[in-house]
Amino acid sequence: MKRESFHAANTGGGGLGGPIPDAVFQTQFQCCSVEFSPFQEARLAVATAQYFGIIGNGRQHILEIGPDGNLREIRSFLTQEGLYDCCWSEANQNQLVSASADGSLKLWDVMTSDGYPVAHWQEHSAEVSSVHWNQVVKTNFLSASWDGSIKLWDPHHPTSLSTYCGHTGCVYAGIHSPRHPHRFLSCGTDGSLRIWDTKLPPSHATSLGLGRAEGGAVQVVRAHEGEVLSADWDKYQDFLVYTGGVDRSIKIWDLRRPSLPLGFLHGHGYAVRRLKTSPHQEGVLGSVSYDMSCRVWGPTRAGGRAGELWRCEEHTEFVQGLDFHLFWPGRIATCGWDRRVCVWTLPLP
Amino acid sequence: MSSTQTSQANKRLEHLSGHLVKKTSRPGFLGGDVVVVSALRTPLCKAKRGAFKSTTTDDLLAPVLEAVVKQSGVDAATLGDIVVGNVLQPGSGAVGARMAQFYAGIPYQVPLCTLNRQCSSGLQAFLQVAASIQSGLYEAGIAGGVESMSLTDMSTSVPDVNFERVSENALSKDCTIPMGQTSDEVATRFQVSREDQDRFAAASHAKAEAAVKAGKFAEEIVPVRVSSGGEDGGEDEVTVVREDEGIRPGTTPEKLGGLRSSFSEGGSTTAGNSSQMTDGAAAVLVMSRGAATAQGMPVMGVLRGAAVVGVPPDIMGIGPAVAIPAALAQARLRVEDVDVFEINEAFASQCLYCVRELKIPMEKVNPNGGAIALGHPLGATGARQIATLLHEMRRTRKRWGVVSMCIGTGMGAAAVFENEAAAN
Repeated sequence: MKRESFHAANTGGGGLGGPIPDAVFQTQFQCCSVEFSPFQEARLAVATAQYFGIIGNGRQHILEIGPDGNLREIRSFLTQEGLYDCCWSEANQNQLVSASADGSLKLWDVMTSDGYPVAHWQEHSAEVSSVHWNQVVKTNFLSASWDGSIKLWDPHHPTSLSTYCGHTGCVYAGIHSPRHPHRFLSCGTDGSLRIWDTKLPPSHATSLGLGRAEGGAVQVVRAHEGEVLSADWDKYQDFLVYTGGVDRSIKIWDLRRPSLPLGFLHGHGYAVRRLKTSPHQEGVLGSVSYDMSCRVWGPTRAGGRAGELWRCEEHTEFVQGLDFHLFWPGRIATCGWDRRVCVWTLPLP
Repeated sequence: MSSTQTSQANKRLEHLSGHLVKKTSRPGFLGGDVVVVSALRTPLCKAKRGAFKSTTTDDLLAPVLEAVVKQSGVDAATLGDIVVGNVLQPGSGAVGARMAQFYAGIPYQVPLCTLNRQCSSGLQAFLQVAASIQSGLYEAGIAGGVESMSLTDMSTSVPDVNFERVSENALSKDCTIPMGQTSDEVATRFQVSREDQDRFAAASHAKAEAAVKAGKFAEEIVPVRVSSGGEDGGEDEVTVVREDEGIRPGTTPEKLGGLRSSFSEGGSTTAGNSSQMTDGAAAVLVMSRGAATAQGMPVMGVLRGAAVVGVPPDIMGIGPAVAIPAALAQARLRVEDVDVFEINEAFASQCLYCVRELKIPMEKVNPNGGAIALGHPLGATGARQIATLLHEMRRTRKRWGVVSMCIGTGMGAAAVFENEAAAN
């Protein structure tokens, strides 16, 4: 994406001169996560939590972009406690999982006639911060929790398949590799990025020559000095991983040589809350932050260093969620504590 | 709201506020990594008799300023400040240093100041630039030091004060004790024998000699053009000075044993087991990590902790023994974790005392010799030690290093550096 075309879009309209969202939806509670459906291109899920997720209920929204371009709600499910994350099933187009502040996971079906989940799991002993569905194997999903563990699930199974321990402190993300069916990453309070292999027994410490192992992780990378709130795999190079931290930086890692980051992306003024890599363009990623901005990063010129390509400061509270559309290159969604979900079209060359 | 709900809410709140307050392992600093991109020095030459005996401090400082800019590739216009340590010049040589900046081709838009914290001035300059970077004043700066002990006199550094009052206050009176005498005091009080001091001093020469032979200083030394002559009406000769002059090959403890006490009757401190009076300069290019990596510059070392402490003036030499643990505490390291120490050899007595007190294995201390062999150009030493330390750590792939020195009038300073390339 050429920097010039981003600038052109940035200066077009909007009261403050920034980019204008294509569509905005106002939720009742603070938004924590937004995810586009892998099946229906107009559909997206938004997990919300009342009172900034500190206390109160939660609500899982399923929204759709209508023919008029506006966002409308298809369904929503009210929960006892706040919902911190959600993800769509890769196996069933009508189903999605929510991660709850009470440690539970709930599987919803948008076609049900009542407001209850079709499945419910209560195993984590603290808030669940993240859920992520395996896009390769399609029958598994991961949950990561403030209890320090990551669990692997099959939606048809009443209990978790495996539990992965090793992190000290909260785990903020557990993300399956987009290419390797058995690999996933995690990150958390202890500042580490960990790589795991689901084929290995979770408590068995082994070294596969990729790095040191600790309590089951195949690799432990000392990623940030402070907490790592988010991480994602590059969707094009399977050894590249990005981490975002409370220290406001995004770091780029080559897992083959993890002692030092390949590079840094600086710019956010507060903690980086979530980052995701683009499914459409190599080396491009998006991030959202407590600084109320959403930024897209990528090579600033052919073969050049990654830098900031696009930014919006539309949200008026911490931005918590971000997703790239799987089918429409350049379409992203953000959501935040200002109780708004925004859909954007990034300028493309 | 039930009590479980309240405690749960409080827990979540605490969580969130943790994301907003940046946790750093260095409580004194505001955050962000400070990195060294380049660190270089002039040769160190004997005061009064050596190659720099007529060289003014502007001529000494300019080459190192120019060299760190050139070596790093930094755009000099982006520098936020130049801070230069100097002890003996009036006003720490502020005007001369500014002139040196211009010789080095650094634009006038880049400001400059000088400072004096006695023997630690070069390190203090570095700490000032580091703190400025961490507080966001700028992203790149040069910290340096320069001293011409040829063109100044330590005797002229007697302060212009109310001596009647000085003698009425025990501590201020102790500030009038000559440095060498404080060395004798440390030796006596902490039982550092003359023999041990001479052995230590001979080792300094031996290590420095070996380092020179192995070409270890080649990467850190910047040659300096010096014009000499003109005194007897002859033509100016330009020579290029490339080598340290202070090292005395073949120095043995026995030879040193024959020297008489320099500072007090029956004292153990001699000219042979004290630092030499020396002319020289050094400079360190310091940046925020973000700025360094954005410009593709290699990171030689990362500042991980620092401390400046006060100690009794009459035993000022113990400074490092107090400063080093304080700096290591910031870095959350123990003495055993450190691979290389550059502890200024102001005197063998105090350096030895500190090494013993902290139980540092001798092989980790000044592996390429110290001020006894190389010299101690007061204002430059701190910056010189940073250069020597980081080059040594890079060469030997060592991870953790410490620079430290004692400070006249009773202080100590220390800084901890990490060579990340040596981690895993």
